[in-house]
Amino acid sequence: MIYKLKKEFLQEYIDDLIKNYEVWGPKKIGNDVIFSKLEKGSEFTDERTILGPKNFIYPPREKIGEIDDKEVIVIGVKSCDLLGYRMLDDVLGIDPSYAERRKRVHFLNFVCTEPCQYGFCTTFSGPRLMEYEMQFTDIGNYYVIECNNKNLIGKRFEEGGENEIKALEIIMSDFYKKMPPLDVKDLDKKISWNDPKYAEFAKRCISCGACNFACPTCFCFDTYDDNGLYREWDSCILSGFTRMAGNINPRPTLDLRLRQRFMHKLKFHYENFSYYLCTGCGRCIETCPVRIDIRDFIRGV
Amino acid sequence: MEVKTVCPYCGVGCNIIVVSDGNKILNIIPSKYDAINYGTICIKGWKGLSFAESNKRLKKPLLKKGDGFIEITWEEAIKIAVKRLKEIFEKYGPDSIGFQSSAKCTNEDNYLMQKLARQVFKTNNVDHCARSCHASTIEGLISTIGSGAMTTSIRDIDNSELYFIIGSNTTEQHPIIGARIINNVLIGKKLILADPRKIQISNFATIHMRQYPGTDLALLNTMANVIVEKGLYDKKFIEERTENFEEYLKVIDFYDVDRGSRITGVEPELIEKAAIMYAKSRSIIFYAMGITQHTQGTENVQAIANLAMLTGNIGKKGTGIAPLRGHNNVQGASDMGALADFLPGYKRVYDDEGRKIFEKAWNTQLPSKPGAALNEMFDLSRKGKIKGLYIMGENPVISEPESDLIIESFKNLEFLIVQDIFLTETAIYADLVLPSLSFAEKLGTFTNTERRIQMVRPFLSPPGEAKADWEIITMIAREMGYDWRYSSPEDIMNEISSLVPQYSGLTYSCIEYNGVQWPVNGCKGTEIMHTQNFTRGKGKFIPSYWKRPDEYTDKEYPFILTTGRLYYQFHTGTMTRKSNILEREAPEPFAEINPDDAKTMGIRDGDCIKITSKYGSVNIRARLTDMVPKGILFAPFHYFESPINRITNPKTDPVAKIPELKVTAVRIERCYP
Repeated sequence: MIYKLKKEFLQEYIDDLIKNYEVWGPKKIGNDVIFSKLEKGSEFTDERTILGPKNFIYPPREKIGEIDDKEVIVIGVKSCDLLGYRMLDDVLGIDPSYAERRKRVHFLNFVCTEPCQYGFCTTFSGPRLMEYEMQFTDIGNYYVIECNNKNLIGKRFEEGGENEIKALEIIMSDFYKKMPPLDVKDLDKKISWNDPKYAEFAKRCISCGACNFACPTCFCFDTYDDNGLYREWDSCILSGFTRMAGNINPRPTLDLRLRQRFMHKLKFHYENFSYYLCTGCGRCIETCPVRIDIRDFIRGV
Repeated sequence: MEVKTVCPYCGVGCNIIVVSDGNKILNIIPSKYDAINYGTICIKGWKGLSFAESNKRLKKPLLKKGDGFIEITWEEAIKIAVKRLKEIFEKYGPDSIGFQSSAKCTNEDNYLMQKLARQVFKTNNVDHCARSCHASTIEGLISTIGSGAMTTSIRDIDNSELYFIIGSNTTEQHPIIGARIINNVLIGKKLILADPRKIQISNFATIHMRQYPGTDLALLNTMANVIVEKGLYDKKFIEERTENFEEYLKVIDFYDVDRGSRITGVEPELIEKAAIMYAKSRSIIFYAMGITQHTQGTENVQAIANLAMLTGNIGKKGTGIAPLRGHNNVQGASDMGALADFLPGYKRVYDDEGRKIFEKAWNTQLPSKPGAALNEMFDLSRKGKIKGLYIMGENPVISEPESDLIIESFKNLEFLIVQDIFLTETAIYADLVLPSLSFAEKLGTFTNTERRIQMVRPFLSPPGEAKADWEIITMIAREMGYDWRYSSPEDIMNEISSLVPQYSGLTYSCIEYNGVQWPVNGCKGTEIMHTQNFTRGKGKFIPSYWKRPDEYTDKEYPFILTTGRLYYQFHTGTMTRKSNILEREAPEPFAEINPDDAKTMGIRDGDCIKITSKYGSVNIRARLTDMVPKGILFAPFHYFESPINRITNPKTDPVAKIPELKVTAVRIERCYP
């Protein structure tokens, strides 16, 4: 269903949500915007956060088997992140605690109407998704709301129709002009095992793992014991990720590990699932201390 | 809840935002704060905070009983601590107790620790690990330019044209500063590197000089010689802003490029090229332990200041001297006077004027004789002069040289208190262990390597009954009969800002969101120091001749051992080794050896080797790599399994008393464990 909501009523809508749910959304703290528990609708901003809200369905570190059962609404997630979580489902979906969280966390996504500095989402699905629970697009005085969850409809929502769809389409075509897609046709076949870029990136990569931790699609984890079994996000950039007993490591050097990251995202995953494991969010570029740029890499293939 | 706070590892002081539910960390987000970390952090920031949530944290005070410990209440713990310290104080006099403060603790904690030593126990026996890292920077820079801290700021890196890195593995030890330098080099700026090892940043070096360990002073003097020879020095700057230039010329005249090359092992053309490039550009010099941890540490630092003044590369945008601080708050702990010879704000203890200020404020007579430095405390306790030791947040058994003697010295003590967040390798020798709070549970300030004073905020509830360090110290002082009335760290900061000139007028409201750089005036900070005048007035050239390091190779000890840290571990590993991913990345000690050396000795990668120095030996795994040149071994000191500091050279710089950890003569042989 298509609805529209006058922009001034968004705060009120969020206030109403807060009455019934735990609501998290982007909030400004000094120069930073982060996902925070909202106490009132006025705290909400639709600015881009530096990390997406992946931690709600897949915490950075968790005690295995420990899940609380409260329902959470995360409003203001960007489409690129949400698309990433749908990709996570294909891999982590069979994990009971992931599946449980996925059921009780509702993501209401916002469609970007202006390109961000590092993003290249038009290369993949673009800012407007086809699958969503509730999708907001700013068209000036109104938000157009595409809704698949009747329970979350607000009292000020007005029914929308052709006009709103049209407005949406104009904004999207404008967006695609501002952010021309990169050429990824047959990327999975063209990408090279011996690309010199891997070694070039390895020269400056400081192995911080940010490209994994900020990525909406990265799913690898490590488990360990500390009076209880824990799991935490892992990074394929680190040598311990593949090191085996006897100090044998199939990816002993950094260039080989960087190769794994690019080839997994742009080839291996494609071969298994028929889509690239990348949504063009640009978070790996933004959080990389030495600005290793996956766009440069794709352009170079 | 979410708080903006500061990463607890190195001195860069990256701003992070931690989201938590009070009991566990839900998310860690790098702040976009462009003055420091522009939305990035290194692996220690991403993965290294989970130590705070570790189940191994200390939760109750522990009293030694037999070979083990029993849990006691805080009331008992404070009573016992004070009773024993008082007995020692009354029986052996004030200087029989030593206090070790900590660069991991807040400014407020450190201020109170040195106040406890000086006001309550009337001794200057208070020191912290700056002694083993940047004591020579403090002495070296105060004597030349008047202030022992980075002259410029991290943001200013972008304004520079050339970076001269000497004795710092920047991408591993200060990764976010290293990354900033790399980003600038990628857009065409230049990098001169002087380091015996082929470290990662050497990939970007325009010139890489691989000098022989312990020859830095000769290298710097030779560069100066070239600059003078070619007439590339800044005559106007020298005339207007400096003194003692004539003396300097006399000394550096000795270091012609051929002599310099012979001493350092660097090709003369490289030295020449580097000197010319440095002099002709707007340049910042970065240095760390490779310069300071030498018997000539102070002279090394002075040589760096000399070189900057010679070319006018100081006090202007894009220039300066950047000592990179290893700990999150080693700058602050030094500012707070947790040093045997300095009161807060770098007032010498023997300077009557300076002492008067604190005597008045604390309403007491203060000792004027410099106290025992960190490593001297252990010597003194071995000699029976120090009978009680109160160690806060330090782990000298792993971090200080010739550690067997440290353990031996503990046996001579009548009472040892260790206050820490884990039962460390040092804490197991304690009579009383006090559980304290980590950065994750307490409020306070850290001062980073660029002098920026930043807020640290709690985001977890304290484990068990653990208490903040400032609270514990206050309880002890009160039990000793001193009417200390601090109800929050803010009260302590208000006292600091009224007494320490660099922090003058600072309040927590000034640094609510972003920190400011000292010297502050109210809320206004200073990005670049020494712009009009040097802090000491005129900059003073202090030249020195190069001397051979205390140890050098001979038939019996044909290798030089140099030590350092790894990217994934931090210092004695108290925190990083409790973080799963970090420990997985660097789980065991090793010694790097050049493959050519290894081959002649029949050593293969992963073999057990026994490294022996004059002081003892350790068994360790060999790692073959051409990162180290022939004749040199490198080993990290994080590991209790192969405590490399058992065999390092304890000989110190006579002024700064910093041990020469970077040069120890050793021999190696195969071992079969």
